[in-house]
Amino acid sequence: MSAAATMGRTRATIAWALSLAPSLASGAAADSLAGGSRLALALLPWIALIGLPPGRSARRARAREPRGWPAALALALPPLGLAAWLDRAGGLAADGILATAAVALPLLCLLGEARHAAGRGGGGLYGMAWSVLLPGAPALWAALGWASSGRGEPAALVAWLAGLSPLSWAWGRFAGPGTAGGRGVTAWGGALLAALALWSLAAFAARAERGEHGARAGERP
Amino acid sequence: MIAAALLVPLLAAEVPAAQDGIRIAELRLTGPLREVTLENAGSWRTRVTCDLAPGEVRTVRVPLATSDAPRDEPELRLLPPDGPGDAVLVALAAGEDPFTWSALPAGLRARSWPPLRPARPRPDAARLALVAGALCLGLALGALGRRRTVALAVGALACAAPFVLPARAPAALALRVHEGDAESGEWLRVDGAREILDLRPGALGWAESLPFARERSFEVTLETGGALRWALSGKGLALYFCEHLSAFESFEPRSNEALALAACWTRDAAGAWTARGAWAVGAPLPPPGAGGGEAPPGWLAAGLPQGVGVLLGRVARDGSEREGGRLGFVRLVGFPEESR
Repeated sequence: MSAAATMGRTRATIAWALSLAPSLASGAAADSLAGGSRLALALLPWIALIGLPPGRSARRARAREPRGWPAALALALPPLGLAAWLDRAGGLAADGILATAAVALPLLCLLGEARHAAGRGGGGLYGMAWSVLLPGAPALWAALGWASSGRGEPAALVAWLAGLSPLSWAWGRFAGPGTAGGRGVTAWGGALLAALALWSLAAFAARAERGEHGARAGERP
Repeated sequence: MIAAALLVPLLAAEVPAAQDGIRIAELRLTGPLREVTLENAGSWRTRVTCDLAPGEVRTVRVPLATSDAPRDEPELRLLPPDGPGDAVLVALAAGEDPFTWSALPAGLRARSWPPLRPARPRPDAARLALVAGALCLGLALGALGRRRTVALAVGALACAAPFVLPARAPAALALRVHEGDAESGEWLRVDGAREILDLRPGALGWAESLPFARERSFEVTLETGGALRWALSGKGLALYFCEHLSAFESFEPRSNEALALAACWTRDAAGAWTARGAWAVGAPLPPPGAGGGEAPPGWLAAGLPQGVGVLLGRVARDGSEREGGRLGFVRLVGFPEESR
């Protein structure tokens, strides 16, 4: 078992360093974080990277590769704990910090498990869905919102998908209402639902591909 | 005509006081008693913390908010609630400041509150070393093979450790601003601090918090030696307390009779600022240019009326005995120009 199994050691170290950055912010950078949750910011790189679709080599390794997200989670927990402590020391309410942590943990587990399932087959389909839901929709939503400069609204479908994205949920926890994500039940429910959908899709695609391989093997004389 | 007739009663109506004032009540406490809370429908509650032995009786003076609170008796809640201890309100108005908020000059009431940014928490070396160590251990465990449970346990421990390790409290930021109006001769002393602001027991004045919050209180602590401690308290709030200074020696260009200033600035009626440097007690106003071009703090110079002279100052650290160890500032509107 290794962190490399899920994210690669280099990517895990990069995610670790990025998640530590909000805790180390000082001067004007710290001023810009005033009132926001550092825990939510520290979660962003892990949410983005723990479910990153497997590459060709990982897909070739398939079922031989063990489940690796627990090791990535083990690396994620210390900087997240530090960020949560700083939030509390900075005066953020304990219930808000606990609510963020309570949603983040199953979210990371689901995304990691989805990535693991995708590594066993059907990774292409998972890759497309992940790209749309995680970086795609929130980026498009932000770009459309910026381009309209307040005169129009991004397309309803894009706004809806962006609202479901786990990245939008984490950003909403940092930046508050008015973002694609948010703080209500819909926001965290949508993020968990999106992660669950990704995992279901990956598991279904992997099973379908294994079935297809089995059928081909059965046809051979 | 009809509109004017409708407006007259509105204009004549008494404008409510903008600040929460204080009236002092006397409370007789009988032990065993740990805590008494006084709820009087105002926006500040009063909490008295004591540790009275069975049969011990003490009479204490406590502050009550006056702004939106009716003049009836506040509701008392005791801790422990069903014990033999008791608390009785002996007098509801044991002292009142004859000076009301609305009697202050409008310019003085409209001054901006000094900014009190929260002390910025920073991770210390121990916590950073812990997080870095957890990364190395996590990567090493990963390289060793299938040790998922151990790696997760290490991660969870390192996650919880920042909350358990002892933390040094960030330095408390407390400010004191003397706000003066030269025309009326009135002075206010504004003290500010975050989360907890110590008051002089028996102090009469006006309390404010930013932002407004329902969870804010006057804290009265009866210490074991019999000493009484008063404070304003509110989690995450910037707290302010204003006291009217009935006899405060002022600043005149010919002599400083009030406080030693480490740096001061004057503004003439035309709006030109001049840095004057340090101004000792008993000395005349330093000449222009003595300040070396240092600019006054932006918040101190903001929002002041135009067309009148202004004196701004930073109180010298040497004068900290009079300033209670806080950062001190002076803001006087209507400061006479030297030529007069």
